[in-house]
Amino acid sequence: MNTSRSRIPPLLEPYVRLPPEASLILVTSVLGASANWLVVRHICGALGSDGRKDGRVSAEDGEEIGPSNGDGNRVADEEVGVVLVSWMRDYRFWRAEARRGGGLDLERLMQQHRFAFVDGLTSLFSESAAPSPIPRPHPPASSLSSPTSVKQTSLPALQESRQLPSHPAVARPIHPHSQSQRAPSAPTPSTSSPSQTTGLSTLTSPDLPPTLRTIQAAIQTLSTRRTVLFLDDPALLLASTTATVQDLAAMIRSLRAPPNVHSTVIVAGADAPLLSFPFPSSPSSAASPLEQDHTAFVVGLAHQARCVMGVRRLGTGGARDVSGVVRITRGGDYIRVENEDEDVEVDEKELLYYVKGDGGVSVFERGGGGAG
Amino acid sequence: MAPSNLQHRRTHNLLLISKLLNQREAASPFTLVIDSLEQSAKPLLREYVKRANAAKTRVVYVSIETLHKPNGIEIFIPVTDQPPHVLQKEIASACAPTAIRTLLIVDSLATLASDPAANLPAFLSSLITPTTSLLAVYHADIPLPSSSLSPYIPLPLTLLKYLATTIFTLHSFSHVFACKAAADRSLAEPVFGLEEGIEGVLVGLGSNGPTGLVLEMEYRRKSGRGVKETYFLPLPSKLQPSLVRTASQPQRAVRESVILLEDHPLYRRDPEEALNAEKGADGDNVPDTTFNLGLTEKQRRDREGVVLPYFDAQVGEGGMGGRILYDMGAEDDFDEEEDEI
Repeated sequence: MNTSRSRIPPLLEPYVRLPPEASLILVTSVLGASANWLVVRHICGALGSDGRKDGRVSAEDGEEIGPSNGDGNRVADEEVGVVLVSWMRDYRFWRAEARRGGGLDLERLMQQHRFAFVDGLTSLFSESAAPSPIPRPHPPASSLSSPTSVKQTSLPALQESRQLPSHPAVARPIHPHSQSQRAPSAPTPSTSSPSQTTGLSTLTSPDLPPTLRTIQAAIQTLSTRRTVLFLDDPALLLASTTATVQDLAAMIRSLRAPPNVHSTVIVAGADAPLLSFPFPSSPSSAASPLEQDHTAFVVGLAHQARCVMGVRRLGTGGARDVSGVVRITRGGDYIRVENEDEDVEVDEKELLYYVKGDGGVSVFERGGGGAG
Repeated sequence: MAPSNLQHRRTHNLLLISKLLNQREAASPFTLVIDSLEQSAKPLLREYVKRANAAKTRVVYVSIETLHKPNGIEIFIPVTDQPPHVLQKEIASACAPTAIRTLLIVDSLATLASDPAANLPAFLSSLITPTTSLLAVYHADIPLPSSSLSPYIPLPLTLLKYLATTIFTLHSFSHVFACKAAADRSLAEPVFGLEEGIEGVLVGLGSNGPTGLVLEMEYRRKSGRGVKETYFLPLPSKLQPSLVRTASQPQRAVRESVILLEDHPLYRRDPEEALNAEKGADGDNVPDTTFNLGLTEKQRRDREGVVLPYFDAQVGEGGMGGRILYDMGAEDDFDEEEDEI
């Protein structure tokens, strides 16, 4: 795991290492500044936490000093599994991104039962049958998901727009995250079909109860005792279904509740058109229900989060050597841990980052000039 | 304002906040805490729990946001999706032996407020008994779904503010300080978080500071008269908890921790300066420097005693030229042979 750790920019390292138990990290992004690179670094940080650096296990004897889960075998304790649920991207994208950006081999991790992927994109609205964790059933519009590299530039956007008619009641706006930093050199779907691996499941219904079941089943497939759960923009469900903010928040709470879910990273959009501020003081004001729901959802998450990492574009316009700004702030659930070492504290910071062509990311202070 | 007035207000209001935080004498049956992303109510809740534990008050925690039971909580009620009346029964049974003093904490009213079936005011007032006081948090920056708002009834927050006997509005200390620094220079006060209006910014820098938070209190007396005050609640730092724990009277230590915001060292400077400026206007008008420009009485007398050379030159044989006028002092070593005047 040393390779994955070295891919994490040093300035970012304290923030992406394994957070304390039961904590929530909210990652927000905007249209021009995608947070996918940050998610990959979080995955690296979670998988690469070897007990030495995660601030919860003391260095000498590997004894856990965290508040609970003190029993059990130590080897499994030190291993952390990752479940990535993505409503925005498919597995191919994440596999390529993880390999390019983080040096992670998701296939291998999946075979080791340390990684599971839940695909919420490719057949979310197919409504075929009861949700089944059958790996990768092809959506009806099979030509779209056929593995040809030609489609890769705009595959998610295409699929989203194509799948709209299957759910005619919803007027779903074009979600800003369709824009991507997708690399042109992303490898084509490999010969080893992911359907042979067990860690791959697909959401076939946008309804919350089956979604909850599928994700929980995916968590169960892992062999590790601690799992970090990644949800890549569950706010899609707010926009595309009749689920209310309360329903969705309740689902996320039930996902976070089991003791084997160590911590959760949630990605959500913070684009201005999705957030209504200042709030309407009367029901007759102009904010659309989607704006209100999205704001309520994201702000509610930020209240529960230990740390909020907001990725946005550079305020002064485009720059050749800066991709954007990441602002790290303490969330509503930030607890100053008193009896542990300093590593677990969240120092708020605003950093610039630059995503290079090869998928590497440098993170540096303002004026630091890409040295990181 | 006269200093004695400030002194009086300080004494009175510090007693009041101590009474409120320690929940003595059922000081406030329903305390509403209004927080935002800039300053979360969690540190205040922990302070309440800490003091309740010290006072042997039972703490019941109704959790809508909190995942795991925080320390010091006796009964933890996680809210999943039970309907309000079921939840109400659950809470009532948790608070059941009414002889025990109970502090009931609800960590977020946003979910209940957005559920029109919940009838929030009735729900909350049913929870309050003579021995149970309610501490509820409302996130001011979560918009309510428009479906739950009726044009004919007031907003939930308005109702809650009407019901509450004490309202704490929380602010981040660094933000309050930044606003004051701007106001001192007659600049526009800075805004934070969503108000910044920068796309992609959710939380402002300086939010949820680890050192402390600012409490804006509005306390309603039984007579209906309101008392307003702003306090600074310091949070336990990394070193202090051990000191507090080893001290024999931890309760004393926590009681004295809250101060008026005006008394905070970073905030205080201004009233004193104002006071100095007032004094200066009718007094000596001495500029404020680090060294003393004044004179003692002896220095003044000595200075007046000095005879300057030109005065001496004017008396007697003035205008002769070339004479040295010099008065011997005690420190001068006069040599008869060499020196001459």
